Amino acid sequence: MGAWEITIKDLRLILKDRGALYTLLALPVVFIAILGVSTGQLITTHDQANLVKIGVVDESGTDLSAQVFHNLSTIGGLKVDKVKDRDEAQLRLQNGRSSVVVIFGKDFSEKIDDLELSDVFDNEHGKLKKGLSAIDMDVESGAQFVGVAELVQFVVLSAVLRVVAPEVAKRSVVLRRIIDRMVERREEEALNGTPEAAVPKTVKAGASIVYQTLVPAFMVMFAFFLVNIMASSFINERTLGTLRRLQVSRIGPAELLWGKTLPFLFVSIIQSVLLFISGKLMFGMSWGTYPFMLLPVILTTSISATGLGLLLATIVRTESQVSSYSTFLMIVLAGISGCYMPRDWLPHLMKDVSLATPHAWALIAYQELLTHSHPSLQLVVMCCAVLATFGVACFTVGYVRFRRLEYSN
Amino acid sequence: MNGLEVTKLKKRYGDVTVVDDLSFSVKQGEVFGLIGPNGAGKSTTMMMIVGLLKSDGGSIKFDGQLFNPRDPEMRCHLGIVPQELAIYPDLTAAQNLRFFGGLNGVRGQRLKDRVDYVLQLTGLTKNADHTPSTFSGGMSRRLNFGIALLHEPRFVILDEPTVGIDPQSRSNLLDCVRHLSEQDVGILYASHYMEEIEAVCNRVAIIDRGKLLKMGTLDELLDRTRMDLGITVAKLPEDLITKLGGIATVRTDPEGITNITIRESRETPVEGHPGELRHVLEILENSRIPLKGIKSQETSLETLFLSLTGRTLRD
Repeated sequence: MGAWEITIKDLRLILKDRGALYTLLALPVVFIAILGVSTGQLITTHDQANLVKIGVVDESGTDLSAQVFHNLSTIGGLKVDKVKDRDEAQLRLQNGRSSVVVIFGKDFSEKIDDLELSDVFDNEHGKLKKGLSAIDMDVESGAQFVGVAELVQFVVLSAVLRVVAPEVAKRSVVLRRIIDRMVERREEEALNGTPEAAVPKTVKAGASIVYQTLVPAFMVMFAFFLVNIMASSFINERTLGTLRRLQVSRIGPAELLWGKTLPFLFVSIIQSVLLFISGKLMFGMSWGTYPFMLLPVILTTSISATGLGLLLATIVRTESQVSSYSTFLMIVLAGISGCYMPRDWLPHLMKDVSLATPHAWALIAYQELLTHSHPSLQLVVMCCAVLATFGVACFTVGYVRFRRLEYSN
Repeated sequence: MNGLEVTKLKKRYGDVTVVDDLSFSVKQGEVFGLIGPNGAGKSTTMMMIVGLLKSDGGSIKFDGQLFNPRDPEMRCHLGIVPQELAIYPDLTAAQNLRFFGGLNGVRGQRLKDRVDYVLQLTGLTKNADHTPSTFSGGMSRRLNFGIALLHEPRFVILDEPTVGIDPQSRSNLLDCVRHLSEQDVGILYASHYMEEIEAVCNRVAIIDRGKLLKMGTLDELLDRTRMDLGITVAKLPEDLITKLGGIATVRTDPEGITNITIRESRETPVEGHPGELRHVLEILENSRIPLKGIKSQETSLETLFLSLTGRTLRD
């Protein structure tokens, strides 16, 4: 009961301390938002950042060029816009509003009419040997795609051929019948309600997967930020002289330490949940196949962070010691464990060494839950057990130190 | 006995003994003053009594039972007013009181009543919802004092509770001490202010370098049947100072004036039992030392304190 009194009091003080509140709750969210903006993953900029912007100048103005335009628009990952003329297209390339410019020349339709079936099916030897210029088309890539200009040309040619090939084929009576029959059959299937299973046209962007790793990594790092504020809270009690009052009250040392630990445990849990919600809202990150299994990982990570905070609080004697020790702990442990980069990038030796840190176990658990479609729950439970053990061990050592230092001078 | 009993208490830091076989007792309803110069061992003694320091010997008994500072039931009989302010500056006065009251097991309506009572006693009712960061030094001291009373302790330990406060707040705190004493609360009161000790304490212990120098009621200590007599003469030779040192306190000031202080009975000396005054006068007359002046004065706690602990500055 006495522990609860201290917890309520500390929560009240934390709520009054805007700086601490900002550091613990707002800073991590702001930090991840900045990270999101810098890597173009905020949902508002998500689409813009990932799509290849294609500007289309249609000097031909025929149904066929319109069909090719439509066809290009349906390709996932492309954002296709009509552009008035070549000058504007150049301008867009220069200012980056378009990554690629596709131009349908005035003779596009006539050139298509000149194509034969052999040109369409064997475009390495026929009229299409010269590429898109053979059908009065031009493709120009911006600086961003200069290195892959040939690939861009190939994609555009494919889009043209998807439209043109059936048209050219229909000039043969036999092929026209076959094609018409295929179209009829598809229409029947559509009417009977047996459409083919929808296949997502866009491939999940790699950056979204990165967020499955980045959000928990920074979350773990920020969870251990409270080591600093927790140790400061103890120093503050000493400086104010209130620690002595707490010590001579009815409550024992264990209750006192519980009372000082619980508010930060709550804050840590809230901080983690807030970051996961922010991750989902801002970056569309997934909570994995078993979202409920995130809770024990959050809880045990918070236990280990608060345990470490308590231990540090019993070691330090001054505010400057708090700053130096906690900063060292936060930066070094986060670095060793792989919070700054995906753990997969760490060399084997570093991976092994990192297992000495609670951060690493938290990261392993999050990685398992968030990036694997069939996560090993056994591994997650083991990580939670290690984290809880670490937290309890720190608390126990902290308790012993506290009793020895504060009650037996 | 009923009350607090400290017997042969000892504390050492390395080779330095800061509390040396100190013994005293405080009864219920008694205000016991503990005075001594800086470093005398007052705060160390108090810290040992409340269990914040482990003693190196001796015992502390409470109602005849060995005091166990780990026992929360025993601890809750004690209230402590530390020398430094020990309050949360960002919590209001009422929140501070409620928190420490709750911590000592006072809850519900009783807590509300006690908080109201303490606010009234310390004159802080109007400022109950203000934070101590807006308080004057005196108000903060009163809150610091009030916190110790919330759980109705049977003994209150005050370590220089009036340092740096105005006369009004001091008067309020001394009234509170008297009020507590009337309610049968035992009080251990440490202070440098002799007038405070004289104003509220029933008994006093003077300690220095961890040792008990003198203890008793104020009447016993000040020995009201005697008075101080001060004789002023020109600077005396060393041999004469040594001769007089056995019967009087002799001090020579920088201006070359020697003050000889003796404690003399208020009654006329009976023949055959000459007082120290006659003895001193005879020595001076035999040495042909002319008197510059002679005056009598009441013995104060301060003069007693200085005569026991000396005038040498302490760190």
